Amino acid sequence: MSAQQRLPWEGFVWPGLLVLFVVGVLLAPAFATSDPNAIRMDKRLAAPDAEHLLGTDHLGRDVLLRLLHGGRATLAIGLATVLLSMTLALVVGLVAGYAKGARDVALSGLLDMLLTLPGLLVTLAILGVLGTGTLPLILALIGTAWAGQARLLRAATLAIRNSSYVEAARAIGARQSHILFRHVLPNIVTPLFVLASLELAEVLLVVSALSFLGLGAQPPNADWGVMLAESRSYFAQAPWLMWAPGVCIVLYSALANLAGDSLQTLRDQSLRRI
Amino acid sequence: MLAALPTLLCLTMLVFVLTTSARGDPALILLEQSDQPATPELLAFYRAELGLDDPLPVRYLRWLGNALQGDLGRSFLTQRPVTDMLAERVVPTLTLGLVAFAVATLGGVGLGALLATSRQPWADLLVRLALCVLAAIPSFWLAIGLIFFLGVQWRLLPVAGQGSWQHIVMPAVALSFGSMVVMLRLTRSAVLEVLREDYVRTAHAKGLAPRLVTLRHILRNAALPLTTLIGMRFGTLLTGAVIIESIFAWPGLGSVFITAVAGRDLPVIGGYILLIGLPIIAANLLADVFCHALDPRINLADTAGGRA
Repeated sequence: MSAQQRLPWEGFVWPGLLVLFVVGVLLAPAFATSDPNAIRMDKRLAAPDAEHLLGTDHLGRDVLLRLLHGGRATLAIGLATVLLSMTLALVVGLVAGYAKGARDVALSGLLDMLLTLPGLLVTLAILGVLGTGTLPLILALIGTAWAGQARLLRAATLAIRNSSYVEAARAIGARQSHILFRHVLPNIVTPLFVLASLELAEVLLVVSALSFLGLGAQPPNADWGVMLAESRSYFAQAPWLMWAPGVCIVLYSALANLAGDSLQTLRDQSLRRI
Repeated sequence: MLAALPTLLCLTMLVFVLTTSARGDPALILLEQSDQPATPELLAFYRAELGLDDPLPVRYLRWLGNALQGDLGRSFLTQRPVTDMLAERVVPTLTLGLVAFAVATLGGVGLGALLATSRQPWADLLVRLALCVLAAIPSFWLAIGLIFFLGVQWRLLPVAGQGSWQHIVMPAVALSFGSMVVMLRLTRSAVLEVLREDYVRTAHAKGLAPRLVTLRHILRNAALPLTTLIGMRFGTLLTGAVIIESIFAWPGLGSVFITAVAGRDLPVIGGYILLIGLPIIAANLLADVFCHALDPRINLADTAGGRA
C-alpha cells in the first residue's frame, strides 16, 4: 500500500492562493477609498445590484466596502499574532529541544500545563484582565497560540538534534550557534510554515468569534465577525448580510488549512521516500 | 497522571492572583463604602483585619480554604456572591457540553474510521479538500445558518431557549461540528497509519471478518493518539459553549462569563475559570488513565516531556 496519492502542484497552489487572498484584502482598501461607515438611510437593506455589488446593511452601508476594510484589520491582527507567537515559540522550542536536561524538563512541563487549558478560555481570561482593544487582543492571541507551537517545534528540534549529521557536526568541533543556525533551523522550516498557516486559520476564527461576541473590533468599525453579529437581526429580510462575511471567513481559513495540510503531506511523503 | 497535580496547583494560583490582585486596595474600598475617612490608622487596622499584611502563601492558602467551602468572593459588577451566580447556570452548560462531546466523539471517530477503511484512492484528494473546508467553518456562522434554515425557513426546530429535547439539537450540532471534523481527520489518518501494519494483514489473512478486524485490531491501535485529543476536546467544547450559548439564548455560564470579560469583573472571570478548569483537568486525567489501560507500556507518572 503506497502513501496517499498527492500531486506536487498542491505544494505551491494553496500557499500561492493564500498569499494572493491576503495581499488582495490588504491592498484593496487603497483602491476602494469610499468611507465604509457612510450611512445612507434611503438605501437600507438593499439587495445586491450594480451600484452595491453585495447589497447594503441595516444602515445602508455598502457590504463589499465593509468586507474589504474589515478584512484588512482582521488579517493584520492575524499576521502580527502569527509572526510574534512563532518567534516566541521558535526560541522556546529550540532551547527546550536542543538543551535537553533540566531546562527541557522545566519548559516542557510548563508547556504541558499551559496546554491543558483550552485556548479560548486563556484568550478570554487575558482579555478580561487587560480589557478590550487591538493590543490586548494580539497579546491574548499570542498567549494562547505559542505553547502549542513551541511544543511541536521542540519535538522537531529534538528529532534533528539526535540525527547523525548533528552528531558529526559536533564531532568536528562546530560551535553550538553554527549547529543551530546551519543544521537545525533549516530543517524545521517546513513544520514552521505548516504551523504558521494553520495558525492563520485559527487566529481568524478566534478573532471573528470575539468580534461576534462584542469583545473584538467595536462598531461602527467593520469586521467580519461584527458584520455577522449585525446580520443576525436582519437575516430573514437580507440573507446576503449573513453570506458575505461568512463565505470570506471560510474561504480564507480553508485556504490557510489547505496550505498547511499540503505542505505537511508533501513533507511526510518526502520523509517516507528516504 | 501526576501532571494533574501541578496543573491543579497552577490553576488555583492563577485564579487566586486574578481575583485578589484587582482594582486597588480592598481596605481603601471598604472604607470608602462605609463612608469612613481613610486615615492611615484606619487603613492599617482594616489591612490587618482583612489579612492583607500576611505573606502571599498564607493569603493563597486562606483563599483556597474559602474556595473549597464555596466562597469565591463577590462580583464587582453585581455585588452578588460569585458562587451563586455560577451555580445557577452550571447545569445547562454542562448538559450542552456533554451532549456536544458525545456527538463529536461518536460522529468523528465513526465517520473517520468509515472513511479510512472504505477508502477509494481517487477520492483521497476530494475527501482531504472537503475536510479542510469543513474545518474552516466557524461555529457561530454554522449556528446562524442552522437558525436561518431549520428554525426560520422550514420551522423544524425552536430557535432559542431551553425546554424540550428539540431545543438542544441546534446548539449541540453547532458546538460539536468543529471538534467532530478535527476528530474525524485524526481518526482517518490514525486508521490509515495502522492499516499498513503487518498484524492487520495477518488478521485479514487468517480469515477474520472485516468488521472484527476494524474493531479489534485497527480501532484499538488507532485509539491511542485519539484518546489524548478527545480528552483535550472536552475542554474546547465546554469553553466553545460560551459562543454558542449567546446565539441560542441558552441559559448557561456563557453570558455570565462574557459580561464579566467585557466589564473586567475579575472575581467572576476567576470563578468561571476555576469551575470550568476542574472538569477539564479531570477529562485530561481520564484520557491519561485510558491511554495506560490501552497500552500498559505508557507510564502514568512520566508525562512531563515524556511524549515528544
